[in-house]
Amino acid sequence: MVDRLDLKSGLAHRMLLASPFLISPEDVLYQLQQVSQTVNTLNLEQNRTILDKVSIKISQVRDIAGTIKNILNRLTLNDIELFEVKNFALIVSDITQLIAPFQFLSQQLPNLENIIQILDPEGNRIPSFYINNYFAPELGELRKKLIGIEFQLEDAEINTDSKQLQKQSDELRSRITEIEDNVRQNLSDKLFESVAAIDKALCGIGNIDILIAKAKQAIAEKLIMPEVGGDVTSYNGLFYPQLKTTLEQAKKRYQPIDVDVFKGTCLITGANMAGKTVLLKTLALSQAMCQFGFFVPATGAKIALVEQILFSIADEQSELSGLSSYASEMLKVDHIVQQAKKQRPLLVLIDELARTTNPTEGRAIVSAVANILDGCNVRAVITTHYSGLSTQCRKLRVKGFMEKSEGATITVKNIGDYIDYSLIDDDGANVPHEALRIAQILGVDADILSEASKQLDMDKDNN
Amino acid sequence: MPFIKDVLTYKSLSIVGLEKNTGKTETLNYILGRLKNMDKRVALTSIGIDGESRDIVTDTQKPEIRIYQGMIFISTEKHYLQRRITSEILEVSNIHTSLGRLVVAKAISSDKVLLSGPADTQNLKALIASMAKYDVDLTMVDGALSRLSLASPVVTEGMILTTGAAYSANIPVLVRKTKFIHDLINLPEVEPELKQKLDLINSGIIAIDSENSLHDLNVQSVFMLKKAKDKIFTYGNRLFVAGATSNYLFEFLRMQKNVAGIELVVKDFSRIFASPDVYYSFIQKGGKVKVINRTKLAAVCINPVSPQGYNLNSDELKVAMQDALQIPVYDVKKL
Repeated sequence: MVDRLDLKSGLAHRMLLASPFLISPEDVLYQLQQVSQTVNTLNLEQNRTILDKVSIKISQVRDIAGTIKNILNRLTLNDIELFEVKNFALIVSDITQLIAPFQFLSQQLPNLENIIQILDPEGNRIPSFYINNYFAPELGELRKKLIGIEFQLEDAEINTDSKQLQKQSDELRSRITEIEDNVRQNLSDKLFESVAAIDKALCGIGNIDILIAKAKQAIAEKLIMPEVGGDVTSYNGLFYPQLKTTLEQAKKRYQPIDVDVFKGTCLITGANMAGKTVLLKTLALSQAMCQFGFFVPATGAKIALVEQILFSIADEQSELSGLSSYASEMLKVDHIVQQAKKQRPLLVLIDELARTTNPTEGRAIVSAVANILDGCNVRAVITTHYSGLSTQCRKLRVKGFMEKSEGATITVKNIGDYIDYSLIDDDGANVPHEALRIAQILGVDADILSEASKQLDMDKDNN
Repeated sequence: MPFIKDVLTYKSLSIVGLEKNTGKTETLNYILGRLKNMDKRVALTSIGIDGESRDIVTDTQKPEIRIYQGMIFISTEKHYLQRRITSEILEVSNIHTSLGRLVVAKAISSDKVLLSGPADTQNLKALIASMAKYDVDLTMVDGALSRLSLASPVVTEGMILTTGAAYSANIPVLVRKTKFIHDLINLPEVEPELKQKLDLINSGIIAIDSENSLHDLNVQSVFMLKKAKDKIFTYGNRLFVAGATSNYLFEFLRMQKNVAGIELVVKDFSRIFASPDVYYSFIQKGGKVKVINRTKLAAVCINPVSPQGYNLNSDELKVAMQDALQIPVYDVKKL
């Protein structure tokens, strides 16, 4: 989602990447309210025009963090850095004027008029910079004199006179350079006194950029402000934005999901292609977005804050470190359990736990992990294909094929239209066995299907 | 001053030397010196770095570029901070070079400066276009023709060539070599529709069919042509080569049966690195060459003196050159 934000400045990008995962409800709420105020502001046509202008101005802002560091270290700034500070202060002043009607935004920007006065003694407010006579009145006279001498030098023949002139010219130049350096030193000292304001303004600009981008995204992707601070995590109409966009572009159906994530473990079963992995990813995304101060992809959401999101998803085999996919999964699950045992509030999401080992032991591992996590202060969601698990934790199931799918021609392309992705409580009796059916839809070799069916029948007979 | 009058008919003009020490910098200084008293705003940039006080390649004395009060010039951060001139920063651009970002500044005094500029064509084009916001009447580009340079000077409306004894110390040879470049500059442009399509392509060899549709031949360089020999002409006789074209390519095309119908399209004349003999024998057998971007040759300046000490007869050279090229020729030393 960060990549899909329309940020105007590299500065905002840097700040966003450095922003922390917020844990305290006050912080999250403050951020969300800021976004909410921005969304409300953007919903009015005339305000949108103003904020579009602000965005254009922000796109002109350069990240002057390096220059600020130099001021803080009491280094003398060179002309380019002084130009950058002046240019920055002028843009901030323009933006301040634009956002004056929106107090929640304007309070983020300090007044930089004194900086402008320091760097623009003439007061013509043009974004250009050189050390002119206003900084040091004697410069004008000296420069004029130098031009005169240079002019004479151009036409002069080489003789004692010209040598004299050259000497004068050199002396003048070094005198001018000295004065200019003094001015630079002086200006840098003055800027040092206001460096806090410059730094605050830089952060402020970054924040405003991020807020506008978050709000625009919230409007475009139909995100909402979640309720936070409570002890409940509950979503109505939860969706995965990228997938939704892709499907909508292909004119296909996307089914949002209602789901509650209680404290303890929740096992989710369901057929292949039933959206279990997407569900886990959506839960993670939504939790993360909330705690980074974004609106979330749902029609209604209550979110209990967690300290960390721990995620174990399939296919993280690392041959290079000599671990099989089973081994690396187990190590990751071990880490999760260790963290959970510390009674930290966590969101734990495990995709198809122990799927790469034999079903007998796999089933035992799933039950064990589910039971342990159930007793901790975590919200754990584990997806699995194993049925008949002994654990007493909550179990949900993806509904799977719809009634209407009976008799319909289902292909790989339209399979999504015939699956009901919603979650129902799983009573354990009705275990979905749709793997063969899906394989058939995928068009795998008929021999595999018939042979597999035969095997199933044989098993049934043996029992 | 007919020369200056010509210069002022262009919005942008590049000055390109056919060899080091052919008087490029002197020409530039002459033009700037004349323009300073006119009510025209001039901007200056270059391809890569220029204006060193000594020529690094041949280690000969090289005149610096003198900027006058009110002119706009472009330099890199590093060079800007080393300047002697008093100048006002107007803009620090987002274009990065190996010597820092580009700085656009206005001269407050008159002095010599180190010019620098973007190292690639796209940025150079954008930079020239951006000069409009400073009400610039004429943007001059200190250019270079080089295989090594990514940026092509053919982004300007007009071009001044400098040539001279440093390029060849024999007048007929010098005239012939300069005439060759002159012929290349005057190559016709492709039709606008094709120009738009091809301008975006920066690598490879493309076949163009009779409907102006493009077919990538998946040949990365002209040296791989032999492998793709069978499919080159399956879409017709028109070929677009995005990169440099060498003797090898022209010889290869000349030897084809259908040479009389072949039309070769290149980015601009500066991408042709064939020798005159090879190029002309391709043309004589009926081959055609077109360019996507064309510039107009405004004038040719000659420097009869070479760094090795050759001193050609200026008048004789000038007359011979003018006869061959049919455009104004000036001696930089007599400007």
